[in-house]
Amino acid sequence: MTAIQTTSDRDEDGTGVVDASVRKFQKELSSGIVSLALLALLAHAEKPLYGYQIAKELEGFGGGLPVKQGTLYPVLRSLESGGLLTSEVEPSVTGPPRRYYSVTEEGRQAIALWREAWIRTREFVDAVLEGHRG
Amino acid sequence: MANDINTYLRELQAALAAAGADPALVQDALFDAEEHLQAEMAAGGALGRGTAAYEKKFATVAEGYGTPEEVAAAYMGTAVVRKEAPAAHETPSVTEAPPVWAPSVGAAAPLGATSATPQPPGGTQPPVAPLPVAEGPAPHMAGWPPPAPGVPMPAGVQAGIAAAAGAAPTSSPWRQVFGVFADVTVWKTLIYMILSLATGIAYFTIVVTGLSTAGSMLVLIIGIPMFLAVLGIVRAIALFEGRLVEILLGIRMPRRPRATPPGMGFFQRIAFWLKDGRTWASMAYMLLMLPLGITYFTIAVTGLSVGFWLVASIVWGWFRWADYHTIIYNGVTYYWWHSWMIPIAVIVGVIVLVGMFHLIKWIGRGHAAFAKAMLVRLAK
Repeated sequence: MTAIQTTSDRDEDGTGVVDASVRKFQKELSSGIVSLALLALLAHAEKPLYGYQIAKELEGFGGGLPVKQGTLYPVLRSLESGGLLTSEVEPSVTGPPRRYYSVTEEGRQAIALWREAWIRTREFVDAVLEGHRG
Repeated sequence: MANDINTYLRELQAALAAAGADPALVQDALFDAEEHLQAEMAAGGALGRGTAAYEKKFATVAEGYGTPEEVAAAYMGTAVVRKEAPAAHETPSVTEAPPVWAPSVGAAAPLGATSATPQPPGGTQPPVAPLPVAEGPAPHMAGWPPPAPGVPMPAGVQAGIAAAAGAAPTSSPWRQVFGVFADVTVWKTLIYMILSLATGIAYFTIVVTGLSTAGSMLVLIIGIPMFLAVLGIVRAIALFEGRLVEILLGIRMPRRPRATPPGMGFFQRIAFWLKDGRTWASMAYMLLMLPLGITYFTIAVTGLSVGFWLVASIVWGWFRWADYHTIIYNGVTYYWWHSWMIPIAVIVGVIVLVGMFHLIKWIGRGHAAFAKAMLVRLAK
């Protein structure tokens, strides 16, 4: 009963709407950023990494991975079908076979351009947020 | 709420099915989830299944991986059938889903959204761009998305653009009839049909010799491992044929081998292979590929050569070679090919070729559906 009351109270003063908007915004924001982060991580890596390693590595940066780990895998696969990553399956001792990803030559070229695009975007958004005109 | 990996995988499969995911996509998603969850559960010492500690750890692990619904939504968002423009006949079911995860900032949603609606001819520019970021000429964002010749864009973007462009002009009857010649899918199907004679013979031979050798050796112990090896080969070929079908016939097929359910010992795995309907359906497919391959090859080769021969009659008619096509019967010379037939032959040849290409297109679709039904049918 208390829980229901709290929810309706929050909805009345608009907090529920704000929470939902934050989640939606985070989701939309992540869509390109996750590709960039995955590509960058793999470009820096010295050897091919498998999905779980990639997730763990990303957890260690900044305040941690802002998205669910399960959502990294389809992005990895999408990058692979786009030709930016390549992968191979190797059997593992303990469990099911693992898919190891590494960056292709195109991926390395792309990351440099993506990085520029990201920096431009970031500077633009920062400038708008702070109200500085160029 | 799932409390172990198997339950989670079943829930994920149900969530993907509810979202209308393709069986091949389901298989890939289950492979990824299983790989991750197994690795995560094994990290820091394995726990006995069914214990409270195991369930507690699994709850944390599953929380980090995402609920089956979230993960399913992510797969539906990034699923890309292939890099080329999808043929007009293909319902872009994967791009219809909101491409939440399509890896492009801002541009993804409008591109994906337009893929379902037909575009005016020549209008490849997606008209929707509520976010100024998605527009090229916005002052701060000049050169966005990064124009990189030779550098592939994120697959989601490519698919969005391709779908928007590919959905364009199919209305004019001229295009409907002669458009098949410009359809890359049809040419690829033709390659598949010609290849299928070789693959069909190879598959049939492998299954028949494999099974008969193993069967006759069954009296000796050696027959049993041989039989299991045949099953393994059948499953490997099913994956290979799936790749061939995806590349040439343009239908999504699994990109990974089908994983056995987790936590199975050697004998359980074998039992799973034997009980798995996919093994036997794949084997039946491989046997059926012999007659199908012969049929496809014959249709392609005879149909096209007849068509080309008729159209080319204009060439040899020009040099009056046609005059030599005579039959001498009881001392009377009959011309069975007259010069006035040439225009008719060319017209008939064109009709035959157009008809052939339409037939090839339908065979491609039909065979793709058949291959999918036989090779990626999901076990319950």
